[in-house]
Amino acid sequence: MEVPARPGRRLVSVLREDLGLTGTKVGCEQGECGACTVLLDGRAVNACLVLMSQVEGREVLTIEALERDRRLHPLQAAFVSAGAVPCGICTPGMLMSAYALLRRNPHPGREEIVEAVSGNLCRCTGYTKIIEAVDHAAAGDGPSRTRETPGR
Amino acid sequence: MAHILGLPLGRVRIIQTTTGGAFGGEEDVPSEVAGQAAVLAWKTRRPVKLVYHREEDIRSMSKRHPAHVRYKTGVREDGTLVAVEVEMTYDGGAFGTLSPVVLWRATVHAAGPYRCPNVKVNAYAVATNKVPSGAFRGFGSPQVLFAGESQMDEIASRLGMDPLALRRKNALRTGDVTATGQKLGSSVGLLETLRRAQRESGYRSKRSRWGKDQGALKRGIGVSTIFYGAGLGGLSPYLARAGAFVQVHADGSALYAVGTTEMGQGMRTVLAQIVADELGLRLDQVSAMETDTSRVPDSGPTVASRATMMSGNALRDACAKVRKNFWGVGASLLDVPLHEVLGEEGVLFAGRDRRASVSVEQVAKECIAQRIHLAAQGWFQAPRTSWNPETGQGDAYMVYAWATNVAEVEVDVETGVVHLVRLTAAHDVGRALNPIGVEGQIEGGSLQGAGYALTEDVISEEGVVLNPNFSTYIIPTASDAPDIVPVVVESRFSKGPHGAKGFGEQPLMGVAPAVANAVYHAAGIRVRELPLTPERLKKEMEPSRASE
Repeated sequence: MEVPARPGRRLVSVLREDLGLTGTKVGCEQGECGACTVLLDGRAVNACLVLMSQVEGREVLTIEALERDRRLHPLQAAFVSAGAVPCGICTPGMLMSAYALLRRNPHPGREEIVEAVSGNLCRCTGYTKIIEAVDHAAAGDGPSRTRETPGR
Repeated sequence: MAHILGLPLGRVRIIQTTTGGAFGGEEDVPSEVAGQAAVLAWKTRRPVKLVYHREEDIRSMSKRHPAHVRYKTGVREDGTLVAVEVEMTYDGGAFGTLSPVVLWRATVHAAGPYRCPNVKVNAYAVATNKVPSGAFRGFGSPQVLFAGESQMDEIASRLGMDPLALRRKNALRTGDVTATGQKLGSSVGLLETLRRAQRESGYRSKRSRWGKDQGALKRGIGVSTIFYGAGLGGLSPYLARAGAFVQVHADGSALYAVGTTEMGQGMRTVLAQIVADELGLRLDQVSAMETDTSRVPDSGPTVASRATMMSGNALRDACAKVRKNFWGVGASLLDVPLHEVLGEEGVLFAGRDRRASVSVEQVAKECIAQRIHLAAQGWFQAPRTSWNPETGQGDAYMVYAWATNVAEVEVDVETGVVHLVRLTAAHDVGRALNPIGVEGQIEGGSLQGAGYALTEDVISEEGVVLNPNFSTYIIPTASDAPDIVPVVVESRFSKGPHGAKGFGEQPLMGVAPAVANAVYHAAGIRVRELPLTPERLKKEMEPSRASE
């Protein structure tokens, strides 16, 4: 897509304010919390630290890309089943980090999952159920696509 | 908002939007931010959105009271506690705000979950040139429990007794009297948490095998026991009430509203379960309304781990009224008296033997045809407590939750770094209405407790917070998380919804002393200041300091 933007603007601002893609959250504006994690050419990055000039001609994937035809991605479904979404604020970032991991390594060990999400802060879960969810999704334990997400 | 804008309360409406994690920060401070936005909106006659950046937020919002706590204990040779004297000074920041209530809770819990005939507690809050302190998971109790539970281990060491055995000996039981003269009812699961935590963690064998490592890496295991009065307690009796609203629609689905707020603790899910259970619906037939002050009367703050108990009971009250009409029509369709109707998963049955059934959809349809009222308000008042603020005696809380934490650490005595390897957390929750939710609270709260123990420190100088961002205020990441083993004990609370009592804060509260006690077992280092940073450990290890 084409988005007119000043080169010095941050990707997270353009996503949220110009494109209305508010799934990507702002948690610290310093690249410390991972709430703004998106994929840039398949690599998990903090959108608060990415300038628009760096994005030109490249692929950006946000959390909104995971859901297809109102059906949850297996990773999302796994998070829900595992009870890994208490308040939900870290969730988009966690899912994108996990998605990036599974794309390059479809069968990660527990250590690799921990490392992949170690840049995403969560205050609610203690990370236990998040790691379980990614593990289950990787193993294909969960449903492949859930029933339709309820309309809003 | 009414006070700030000079309006009658009936002209103000507050609607809660999605809230991400609270832990105390949403208790009183939101009024400040909301007030600023409200004034701007009022003056400009436009909608206003006000967002504090992370650094502004950390610089200006309330934090846990830093505290200095002094303990003196008198104990017999056989380990029986005889006297406890506590003096605590809490740093309240610039204004009073919640300090009186925080101090009260700390005072009530100061003597720990033990029998002790002589208890003296003096609690002070001081004003300092800093941001006002406020509510944070545990609300004054983690500070005092860190001191008390550390001293219990020092006592055990002095007496040559195992710390777990010392606690077992003095642990409060049903029928015992607390430091405030409260006789404990039936929901006292402390000993059960001790027993199961000991077993799950393999405490006995680790306690004897560890604590002797010769190299730089030393392993240790430590324990703490805590208790926590669920609900707001006797100090604020006028707040001990909650309302609810429920209505059943023409298709059998239900909508409910309460006055307490969802912030990731799972309240919405548990309350939906209660409604489904009370009305015989499937969980997917129950929806929650957003919390809206115009929908349900003031139900008090969502604090003190009170929402399940208070809103849960208010909802049960509302559902009972609706059920009378709803199941009443079902009874006539099934041709049985009302008391023989059973409802489960969207179906109403005739009798225990389920000799006939009708779907809730059919019942709802018939209710519409007969113009039956299927909506009701509910109200719950917590049982009256007999607290006397003059004497400091009486029933402080309607019920207590209990917990035992066992921490396993590895201490690197060369660097002073403490690695929390495993934490066994046994919690008496009364009844786990949503087991996954309870586990989640234990896992999350325990890790937050680990942060409190090991890495989290707000550093101020001349009233200014020097570390207002996540690169300098360190909260645990996935790499820091120990193996957390949740153990759920259910010692039913007769007045709670289906036996549940409040749960939310407890997982954080006992972690720091358990870790400090494990560090002592591992390396003989007693650190009496939180967080247990490498610098503090190294300082304790200096040759000039006498070992404990």
